[in-house]
Amino acid sequence: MLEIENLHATVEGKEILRGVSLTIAPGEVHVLMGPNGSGKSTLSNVLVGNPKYSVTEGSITFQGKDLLALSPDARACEGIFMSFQTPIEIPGVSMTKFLHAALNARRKYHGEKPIGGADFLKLLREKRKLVGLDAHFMNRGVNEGFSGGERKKGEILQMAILEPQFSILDETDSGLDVDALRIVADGFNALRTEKTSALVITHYQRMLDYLKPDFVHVLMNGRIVRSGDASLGYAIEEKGFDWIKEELNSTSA
Amino acid sequence: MSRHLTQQQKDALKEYLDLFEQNSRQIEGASAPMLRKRSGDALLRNLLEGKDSPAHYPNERFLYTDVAEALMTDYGLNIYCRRPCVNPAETYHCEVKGLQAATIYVHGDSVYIPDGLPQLLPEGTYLGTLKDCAEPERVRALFSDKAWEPDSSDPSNWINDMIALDGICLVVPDGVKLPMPVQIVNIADWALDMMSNRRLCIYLGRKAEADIIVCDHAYGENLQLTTSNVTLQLSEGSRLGYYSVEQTNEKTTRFCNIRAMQLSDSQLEYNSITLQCGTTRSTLTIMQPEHGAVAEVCGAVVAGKSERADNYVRVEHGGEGNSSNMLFKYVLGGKSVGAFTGEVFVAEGARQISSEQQSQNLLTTDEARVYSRPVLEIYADDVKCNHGATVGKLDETALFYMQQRGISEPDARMLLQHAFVNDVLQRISIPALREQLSTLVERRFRSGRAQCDGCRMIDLCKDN
Repeated sequence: MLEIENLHATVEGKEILRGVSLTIAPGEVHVLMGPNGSGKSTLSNVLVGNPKYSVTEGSITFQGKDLLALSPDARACEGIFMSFQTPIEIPGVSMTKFLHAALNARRKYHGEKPIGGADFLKLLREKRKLVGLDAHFMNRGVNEGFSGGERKKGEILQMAILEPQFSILDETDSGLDVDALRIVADGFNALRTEKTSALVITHYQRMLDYLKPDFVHVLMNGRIVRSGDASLGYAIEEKGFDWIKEELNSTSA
Repeated sequence: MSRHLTQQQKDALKEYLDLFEQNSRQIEGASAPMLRKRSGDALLRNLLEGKDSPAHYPNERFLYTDVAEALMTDYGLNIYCRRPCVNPAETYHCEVKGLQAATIYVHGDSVYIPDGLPQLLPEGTYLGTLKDCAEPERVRALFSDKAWEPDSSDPSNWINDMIALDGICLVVPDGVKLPMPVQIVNIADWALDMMSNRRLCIYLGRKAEADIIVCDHAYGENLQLTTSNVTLQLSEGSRLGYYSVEQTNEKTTRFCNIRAMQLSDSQLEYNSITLQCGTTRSTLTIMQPEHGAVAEVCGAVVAGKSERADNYVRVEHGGEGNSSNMLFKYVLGGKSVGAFTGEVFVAEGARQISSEQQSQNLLTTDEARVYSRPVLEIYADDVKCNHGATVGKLDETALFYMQQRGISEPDARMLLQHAFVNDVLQRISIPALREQLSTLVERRFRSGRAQCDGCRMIDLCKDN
C-alpha cells in the first residue's frame, strides 16, 4: 500500500529525515516510536504534503502512485488521512459544513455524485455515536471551544466519515484521560478493515495495548533504527531509548 | 488626497453651482415641496469663496476618498426629470428569495411605485414619493433639523441637497409595525455618463418598527455617479433595521450619506454589505441626544481588482445610557483599497455611554490595502469605549488542515473567507436576507461575481 524509500526531508533548511525506508501493507498497523525531535511528526507531515516541509531525496509510493507528485488535497482524496497532534480551530466554518465539503470533495475526485444535506446529516448522526460527540458540537466552528479530548474524538469522527485507506495518528493519545483514550482507540479499531492500514505515532504502552500493532519501528536522528513486533514497544516503555542508542554506538564503533 | 482643492476641482464644483443657479427656477418647480428649502448651494458657495462657514473640504473625514476628484467627470444630470422609457418595476426584477417585501424601484433618480403597493402596508403608513406626499409641511416637521441638514464635510451631499428633485418617503405612525420589509431597488443604467441624486426619508413614530433593504445595482459601460442622501428619524422606542446591499460595477462611483436621529430607547440595526463596486463611500452619522438608544452598526466589504470601498461611521453620544456597537469586516484582494473610520464622539455631560468598535480585515494579495482608523473624541467621564483593529492574511495552518481533508485550496480559501464575513451576516435579523447574502458572498468568492438568482435585467431603453 505504502512504500517509503530513502526519504530525506528538511524543514526551514534543516535536514530532519535522513533516509527513511518503510513498507506498509494493507491491513497492517505500524507504530512509530522515538525520542522527541527524532523526526516522527516530520515523516507524517511529509506524507500528507505539508508545504512547510521539503523532500530533498527519496520517494513515496501510495497504491502504485507517486505520492510526492500529488497536492495535499489529492493525497487526502486518494485515501490518506492524518489525525493531527494539535487539531486547530477554524471559527465560522461549522463542523457539519466542513465535513460535508470534505466528503463531497472526495466523492467528486472519484467521479461520484455529491451526497445531499439530509443524507449527510444522517451519516453524521450515525458516525457521531462511534466517538460519543453530541450534536451541538457539529454546529460549532471546527474544533471551536472543543477540549483536548473532544478534538481528538473529532479527528476520529472525521476519519469515520471520510473512510481513508491509510491513516496517520500523530500522538492522538497525548493529553487524553483513560476513558477518552479508550473511546478514541475503540473508534479507531472499529474502522479497521483488511484493506486499511495505519501509522501510529505514540510514546505510550497504553496505545500498544489497545491497537495491537503488527510492527513497531524506532526512529532516531531521522532514520528507522529498529523494527520489530509489539514487544519492541514494550521494551521501550520499560527501558527507554538509551539502550538502543548504546547498541547503535557500539555497532558503529 | 491633497489638503487643498486644485483649481480644476474648484472649477468642476463651480460648474455644479452655476448649473444650479442657471436652472433654479426649473429645479424649484420640479422639486418635491419638502426639498425646496435647500442649503447645499450656500455651503458650496461659501467653500469656493473661502468664506467662514461650517462647510469644509478637503478634510480628515475624506482622507481615502476624494469626492472633489470624482466630481470632475462631466456627468449628465437629469434636472428635467426625464423618465426612462420603460418602467423598471416591469422590466427589472430583484427579490430576496422567500421574502415578501414592499418593493420600490428607482432608475437613476426616478422613483417607480408599483400599483397596489400602499395597500400592502398598515393604514396610516405613507410609502411613496416625496412629491406625492400630501402633507409635506407636517411630514417635514417630523424630522429633527439636525438630521435633515446636509453634512458640512461632504460636497457630494451638498450637490445632492441642491439638485435632488424627488425621492422616497416612508412614514410609519406610532405603534405600527410594518408586516414586511420595504425593499428599495436602485438601478443605474444610462446610455451616457450620468449622475443620479437620490433622496430617502424615513420617519418611525413612537414604538414603530420597520425593516428597509436597499439594493444598489449598476449596469452598462457608461460612468455612473450616484449620490444618496438618507434621513432617518427614530422616535422613542422605535426600531429600524436598515440593510444596504451593493452590487454595482467598476464604472460606478457611489456616495451615500446617511444621517440618523435616534431618540430615547430606539434601536437602529444598520448592516451594509458591499459585494461589488467601483468607488464607494458610505458616511453614516448617528445622533443619540436622549437616553437608552442602541445602535448596532455592521458592515462587510468584499473587493478585488481596483475597487475602492470606504465606510465612515460617526456616532454622537449625548444624554444617558446610549450605546453603539460597530463591527466591520473587509476581505480585500487584487489591488483593491478599503478604508474604515469609526468616530465616536461623547458630548460633555453625557453619562453611562458605552461604545464598542471592531474593524477586522483580511488581505488576500500583497497589493491590496486597508486603512482602519478609530477616532475617539470624549468629553465626559462616565464612558466605556473599546476599539480594536486587525489586519491579516488567511491562516495557512487552517488552509492546510482543510486540504488534508480533501478540500481543494480554492475551496478552502473560499470557506475561510466566507466564515470571516459570516460574523457580519449573522447579525442581520431577517433570516431570508441573511441566507441570500450568504449565498451571494460565496458566489463572489468563487467566481468574482455576485449575481442573485432572483435578479434579472432587461434592457431598459436600448430596444425602444
